Amino acid sequence: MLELEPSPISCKQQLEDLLEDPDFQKIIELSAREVARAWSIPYGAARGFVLSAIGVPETLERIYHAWLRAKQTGDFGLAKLMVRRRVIDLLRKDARRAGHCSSPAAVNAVETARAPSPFDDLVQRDPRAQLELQQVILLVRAALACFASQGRAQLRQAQLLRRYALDEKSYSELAVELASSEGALRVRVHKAMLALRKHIRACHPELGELLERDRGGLQ
Amino acid sequence: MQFHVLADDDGIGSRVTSNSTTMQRLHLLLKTQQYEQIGDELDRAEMAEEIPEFYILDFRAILAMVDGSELASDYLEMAEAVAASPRELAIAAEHRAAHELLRGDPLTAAKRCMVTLEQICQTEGLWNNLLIALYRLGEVEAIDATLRSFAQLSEECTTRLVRLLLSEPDLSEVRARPAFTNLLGRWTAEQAAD
Repeated sequence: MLELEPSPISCKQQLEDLLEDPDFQKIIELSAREVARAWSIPYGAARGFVLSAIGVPETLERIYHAWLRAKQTGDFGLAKLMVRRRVIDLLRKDARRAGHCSSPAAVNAVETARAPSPFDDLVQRDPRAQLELQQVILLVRAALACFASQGRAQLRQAQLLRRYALDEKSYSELAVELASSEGALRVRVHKAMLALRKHIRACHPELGELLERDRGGLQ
Repeated sequence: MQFHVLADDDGIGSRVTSNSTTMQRLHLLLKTQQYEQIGDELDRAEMAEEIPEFYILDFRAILAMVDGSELASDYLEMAEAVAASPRELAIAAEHRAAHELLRGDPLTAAKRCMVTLEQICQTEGLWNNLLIALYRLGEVEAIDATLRSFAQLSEECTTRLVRLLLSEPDLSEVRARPAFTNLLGRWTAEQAAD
């Protein structure tokens, strides 16, 4: 397989460049319409999902280069296919675990409240809410992967957030695991959350909007 | 204009082998113009990987054309990119020509049909779209020449073609041409002889 040269352009810049192209906007629209239909969710949320699905750095890098090549040849079929296949793969992944119910705590990856709440009860009872929850989790995971690729500090912060928010480890468990005090961990988690939020606002605005909508504001 | 999707049963190069039951169901739904159900069936078939990606994209292009959506051209571009046999390339070209006709560009449609018929593969849908394009361009002589050239096709091809031309709502004027009457007369006689 061909190894791609790491692009000197950040993933944020790559996505911005691509989104300036009306043809690229069209394939995003096409994919988002399919996701909106498949999951019966609003178009805006589906578009956010599509952008996050292709926003994983390695994927975006491949799409970006394929798009540049397509611009030279005028043949966009393959580049468009790459975008759609990525989205379809994620739809398939979701379909395969349709019966799986993720813990509601995972969706609160950007917040610390993990105790059962009326929202948790709603999610447990409503299959659609469960589905939306899984979609948000996928988006958060993709954003976290992107965040981790930004540098060594971000990689460490992403690992910590994964353990805390997605694996649902308590501060006391993490304190033992990381040989750190609970107080210090709280500070680290807080700082990591702030950095992740900043990254989401910059690189995954649609996810930011989604979280804002669901949680009444990304603080 | 009618849409036709001829499945390439050998599925050369396809990531997924064609599930004939699903394809038959899709053909039936297309024939009866149950577009909403086609969408549902495509969603299901794609998740289950029941039919090749080419046909998923091609059927989605047809649905987009029926909706009057410009996304049809994107689906067709992708279908062309995954087409793995001359037959699939011809089907994609047939539907691109249909899209061009819908957009009021019969010249591009005619050129596409002619190039594909000459260089890639012949399908009755391509001939059908070529005749519609020529008719819209007012190329009566070219229509007659095309109809006369059908005499060189095999009996089976002529049968499929004549049946299609007889059912195509956009070709009533073409059916009134003496060349078509001759073709129909020959075909009827052959049918009677068989």
